[in-house]
Amino acid sequence: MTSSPDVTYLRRPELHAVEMDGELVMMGQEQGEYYGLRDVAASIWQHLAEPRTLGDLVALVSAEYSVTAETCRDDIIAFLGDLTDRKLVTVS
Amino acid sequence: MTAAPTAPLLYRCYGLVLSSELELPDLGAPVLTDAAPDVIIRHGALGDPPVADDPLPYGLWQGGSTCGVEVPEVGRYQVRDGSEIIVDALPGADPRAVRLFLLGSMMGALMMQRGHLVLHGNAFRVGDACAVVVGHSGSGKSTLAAEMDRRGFDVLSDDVVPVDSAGNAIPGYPRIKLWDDALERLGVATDGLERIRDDYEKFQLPLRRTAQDPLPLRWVYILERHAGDELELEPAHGAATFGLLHEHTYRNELVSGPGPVAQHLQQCARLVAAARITKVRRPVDTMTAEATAAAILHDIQPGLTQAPPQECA
Repeated sequence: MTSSPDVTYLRRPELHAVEMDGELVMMGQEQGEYYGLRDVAASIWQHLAEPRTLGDLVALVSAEYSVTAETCRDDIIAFLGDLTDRKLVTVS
Repeated sequence: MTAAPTAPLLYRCYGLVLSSELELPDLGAPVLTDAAPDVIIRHGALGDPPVADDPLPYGLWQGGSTCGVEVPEVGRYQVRDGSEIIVDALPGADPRAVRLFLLGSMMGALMMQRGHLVLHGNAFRVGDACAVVVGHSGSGKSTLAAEMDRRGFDVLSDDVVPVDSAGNAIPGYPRIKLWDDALERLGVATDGLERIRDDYEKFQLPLRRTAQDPLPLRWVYILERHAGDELELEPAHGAATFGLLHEHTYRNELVSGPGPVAQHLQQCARLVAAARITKVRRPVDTMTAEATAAAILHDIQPGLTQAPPQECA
């Protein structure tokens, strides 16, 4: 899966997430639907408070977790795909 | 339809003073107080519920700071701003059924509007704190509460447990609703007990509790069934704790829209930080209230089986 380098991702502002027992928990749009994010996923979610490109996120995550861009890039693409499918982020 | 004007009666429930045009014997005797009522319960004509694009189940509806319910053969109810409940009972409706939805769904919704996390379960006092047992209808919550009452623990509430923003469970009214077979297993005769409504073999069992003040909620137990042979206790962690609390939030259909969802997440996060959340997985064939009570009490404090004697002031 590839995307244009200019595409930005932004979390939906109406989605509130709170920390519970070490995980970030949020409720989605559908009745009763909820998500738990931890570690890298929770960190990416925090970064998505502002519009970010894939390149931004790869740079942020690799700096934060001391991993190479190649190591985390595919996982981040997959996670962004997941967030997009579940309508938890807007893409522009 | 309007009712004959009578002076409203004052009751106490969930720490609130209720001024009610309807008699509410479920709450005990009316109280005498000069305190301004927190909640007005009155008769009133209610129109058709609003038509929603995405209607809530069970005849519930919600809009802004108002929500309501329409119950076939009973009537319509509306609760607003956490301070007023309007009851429009159908002519000839069984008054006990009218009270059942008023004191259940509508008081639950009112406590939600007042900013509380409202759990579907029973609470009982342990020392200076309390435990809540939640579970789906029919999971044995009320039978377990009756068993705790028998062991001398103060049962704070039946079915609806509001938890305030400081993490305290607020006592409700001192009765448990039990089916006839559950009463039989507990060795309680149904003679002299009031039915919850006509044609229901479900009765009101008065409790002997003494605790009246809100108590810090330290333990939440979730009643579940499983196919194994042994009763198992399984602590919950992480996001799963939220899933469990949400699943057992009373009328959780009303938690919708950005405001209520954000409030609900905060309430659950506070509770998760203050209380242990544990699943009680019980074998379908052999589960008894006695064994479940013993396991829960042992988990709270090894050796705990009966309520410790109370210190007298």
